[in-house]
Amino acid sequence: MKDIRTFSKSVRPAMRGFPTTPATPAQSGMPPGLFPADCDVVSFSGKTEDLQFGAKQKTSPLGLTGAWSKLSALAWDDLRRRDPDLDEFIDILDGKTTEDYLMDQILHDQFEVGEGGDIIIDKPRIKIPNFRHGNSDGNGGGGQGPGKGGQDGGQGQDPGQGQKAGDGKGNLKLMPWQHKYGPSEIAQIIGRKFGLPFLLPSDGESNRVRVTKENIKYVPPGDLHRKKTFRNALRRTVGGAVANGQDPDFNNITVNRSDKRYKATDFEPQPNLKVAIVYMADVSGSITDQLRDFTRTANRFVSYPLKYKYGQLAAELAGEDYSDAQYFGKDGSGEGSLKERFIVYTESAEETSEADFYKIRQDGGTRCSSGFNMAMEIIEKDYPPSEGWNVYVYHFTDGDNWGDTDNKNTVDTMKKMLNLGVRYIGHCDLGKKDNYPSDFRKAVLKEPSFKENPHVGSIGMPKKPKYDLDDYRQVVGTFLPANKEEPEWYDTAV
Amino acid sequence: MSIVNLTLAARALKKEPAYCKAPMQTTAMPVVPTRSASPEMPPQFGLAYRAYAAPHMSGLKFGNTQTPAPKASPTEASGEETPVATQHSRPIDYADDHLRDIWLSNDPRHEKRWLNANEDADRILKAAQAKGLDPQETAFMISSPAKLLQVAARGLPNMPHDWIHGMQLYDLAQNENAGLGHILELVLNTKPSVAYLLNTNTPVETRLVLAHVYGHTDFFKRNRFFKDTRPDQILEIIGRQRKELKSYVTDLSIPRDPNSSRNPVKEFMNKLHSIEDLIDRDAEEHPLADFEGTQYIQPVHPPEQFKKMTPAQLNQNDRYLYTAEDWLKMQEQLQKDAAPRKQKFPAGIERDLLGFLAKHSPTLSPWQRRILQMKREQQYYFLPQRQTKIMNEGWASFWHTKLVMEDPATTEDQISELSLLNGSVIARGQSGLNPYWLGFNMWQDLYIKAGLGVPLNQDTPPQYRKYDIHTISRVPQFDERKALARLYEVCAKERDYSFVEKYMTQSLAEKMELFKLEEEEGESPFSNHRKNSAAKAQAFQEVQNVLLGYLNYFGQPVLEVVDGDFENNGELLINHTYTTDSLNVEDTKQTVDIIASLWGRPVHLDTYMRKNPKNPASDLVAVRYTADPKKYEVQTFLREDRKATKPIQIENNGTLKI
Repeated sequence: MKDIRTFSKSVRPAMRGFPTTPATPAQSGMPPGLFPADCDVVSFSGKTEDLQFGAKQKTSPLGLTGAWSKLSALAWDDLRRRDPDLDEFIDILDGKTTEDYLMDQILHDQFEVGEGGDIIIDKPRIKIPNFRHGNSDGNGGGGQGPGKGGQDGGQGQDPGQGQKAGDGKGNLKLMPWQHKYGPSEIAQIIGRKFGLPFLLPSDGESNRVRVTKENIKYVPPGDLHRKKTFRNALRRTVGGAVANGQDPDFNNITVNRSDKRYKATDFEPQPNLKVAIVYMADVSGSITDQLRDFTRTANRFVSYPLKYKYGQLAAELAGEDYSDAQYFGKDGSGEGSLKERFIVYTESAEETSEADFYKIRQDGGTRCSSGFNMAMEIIEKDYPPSEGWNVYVYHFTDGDNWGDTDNKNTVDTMKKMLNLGVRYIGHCDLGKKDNYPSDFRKAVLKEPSFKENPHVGSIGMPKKPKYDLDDYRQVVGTFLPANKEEPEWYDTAV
Repeated sequence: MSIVNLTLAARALKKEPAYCKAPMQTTAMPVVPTRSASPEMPPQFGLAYRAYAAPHMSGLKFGNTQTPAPKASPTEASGEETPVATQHSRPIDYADDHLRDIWLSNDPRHEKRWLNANEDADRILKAAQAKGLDPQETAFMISSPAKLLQVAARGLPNMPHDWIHGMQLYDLAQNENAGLGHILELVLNTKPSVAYLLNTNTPVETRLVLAHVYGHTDFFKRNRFFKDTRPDQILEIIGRQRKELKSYVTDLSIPRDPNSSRNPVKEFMNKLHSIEDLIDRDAEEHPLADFEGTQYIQPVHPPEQFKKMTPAQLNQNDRYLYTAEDWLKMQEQLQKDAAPRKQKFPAGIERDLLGFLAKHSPTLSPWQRRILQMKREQQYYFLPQRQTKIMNEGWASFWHTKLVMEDPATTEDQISELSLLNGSVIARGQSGLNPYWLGFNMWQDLYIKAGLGVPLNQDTPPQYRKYDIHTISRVPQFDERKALARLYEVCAKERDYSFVEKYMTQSLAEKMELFKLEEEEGESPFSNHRKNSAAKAQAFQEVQNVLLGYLNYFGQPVLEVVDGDFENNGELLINHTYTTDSLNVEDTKQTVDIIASLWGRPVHLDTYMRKNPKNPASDLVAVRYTADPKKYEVQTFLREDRKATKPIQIENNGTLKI
């Protein structure tokens, strides 16, 4: 048996058709600097020392010793580039990632929220029909369900390791089974799917801008506009003479009433672009997990279009191009962006973070007025409509409120809110059988001042085994009411 | 009465085992370093895969294998030299890419590791041969994990292009990423065998994998079901298929669908994904007959109105449409239809649906028949590996356990790493059935029984049940030579079904905890020994039935062509033999539709369904799916005997709306 050293020397010259030195990154079309010189034997963690004999080995999740490394996004790219079949397959997957599929994933909570409001979903699986037993959904066979359900595969759970790699600009690199939608894309898709209307912001009394009006005819509210008046007189006198073939007389120009123009200064209201949403939810024992999920998804469907729409208006007024980065900032502090507050209540109310809002569960009865009172406080303190805030209040409960007195108090609070100038108060009854209105909703419906009031809306969402897109369409349609002047805003957007 | 807890059975009903599902699994586990080569390597070494004749292996001596190099391929003998293209001057071709693995093994950075591996390989091979193992000549390749996955996804490195391989690669890589599975090795059933070693394996892993590979290559050579697989030619055959398919894909003379921008050949291949494994999965011999000269069945199709009406019924207008000649033909046809058919077609039943379509479909073009035939050849090549999965993996695991632990070079500090690794390979598995685990335990049990002279199909005597593969050698009565001789006989003639049927015993099932009896409250296991032993026997029967249910036809539906000229109208009648469960409604509709588009005439599938899908004890209803390529939807009927009587609606969850 020969020493491998001899083997190397004797064989190399005979291997025609192959480079005599290892392929460099440049030769294989890879970005320089990301891989060591010999890209073919590099381990996927990209560390050279893994290749050294006797290097310390990692332990795998299965307890196997040996170099256990996940395929990074970059390694995936490399694999895809060198394997035409994989490339073709991923193209096919991209083609199957449609808007309908996206909505389906959102309904089933199968997505991650990335930075700045991005939504990241897993691409669909391709099912190949064949003769098989059983009428289950097809997850019965095979035992492989990668890509779906972040909890099982572990893809959603620990994105830290090898899942995402920087592309040099600080953006995260997606794994090949993921697809990302930007917030404005999501907003437009929701708008199209739900046929959402144009929303008119309030005309802010607090937000007036000085405007000079010129060229006012006949009405003298302000000063005479001497320049324009004289110009008109000149045009009439001289122009008339020239038209008649006479010499104009510049020394004798008269101003009559029709020549006079006036100018005036005014303060005009500008649309308010500050938005706040206050979410309220009943977290008493009667609210089930299903209703909670419904609340969360409905809130998402409402907030994306709101954010996008106000952001776009702000950009328009400022004469800039709209950009997601500005209006869906990481911390939500972009100028035209939207503030969100979350209140949970049973007998007493409590303000929470967004994450807790959908998790907290408490014992106790239901007193709606406590939630509304706290919302009122928050609005008065932080988002007074008199200072130009567009405030939207959304409320979810199963409607089992304590007694008529509390219903009356709550309705009074709602009236006060409307008097303050809150843009919209939406109420949703959850889980009532046969959509029969709860006592609280009855009180809202009975209140005469709420009838035909475009700033209040209520809807009942009956108990169902499964909520579909139509149910969300009803709720979102109620919470973002149509404006008759400019319908179908989304069709013309961007 | 105790409650029988069928741990395995319960899981079995939920899922088919993963290994039954993957259509083209080659044996995958651990392995390999490249060996030193003889200096007279042929100059066209670089063309190895491009020539598809595996000449790169023919000139090399791998390891200490004593076998002489195989005969040179015709290309090589004629001394032709094909010009070599530059590696980077054209798009990277997958098959070519693999050549670099071999070359890279010369990298000095690997020197020390692979030198050790070379020594290991020599030593282990000698030890194996001393025990009577007769491995085929084996070529080892060092490969990166990604390339190993690429081969694993295809089954063979140079399979024709198809995005479905991309899908399998995607799944494998995703599993690897999620920590759900790790492939240590890959062996191809070629001659000489090709084994891929991971460049990320440790020396100890490599040693274990080497022994495992020798187990596989011995099995390939020894087992009778592999004798028709043509391992010496398969790379060339597949390579030719790859070229041929490429020529079809780029052939502009193949008519395109004017409404579609897609390639007609690729569209056709997409249809085949649904039916490509419909071959006779029980076949003992693998009929790779040549199809040339086959007569296609061209049934006469009289117009519908000809069949239905007598001349008297034809109205005035029709008389002007047909000439007297037509009338005569019509009369003849009517008489033919009325007369009973002399010969049934096919004569018996035909389970090889792929071959039947390729041979007898009236509509397919020649290139379509060729593609069907290629798929069929591939399937028959991989069939023995599917039929012997448990035996094969068990055999390799048995040998790597034995060889590595008896290897004098295995030091004490390596034993913990080896046991850990070995334990994870032959572990029970989280879900489904791990063929390594089942196979290893069965071979170990047989080894013990054979060495003690106990009949192989009987329970292990109670006093020997605590022994394992290593400790049994301490028993004085145990004769290793006799044991191995007996194992070789079993290895040569069985496949999974017969193996489990004959040699799975109650004592083994109990030891492996395939079933467990749960005590009832207040009942002592000693108080009712007789009742318990009856319960155990019953539980074992159930477990064995479930196992055999898996292995019989891989647990997949058994479909047979019953009539190729059904209703004297060239229609196709397929029968599904109801065993445990009815067919999936949605998938069946789609698949029958695909078969109809390949047959060109209506296709019927007869099957049974439960009246109430939620109640497995409810009555069976005879149902027929009928797909007509000219109609948009697949229709479903109730049937009586061979006649469809009444249209019904079947919902996707299996509910019948009569």
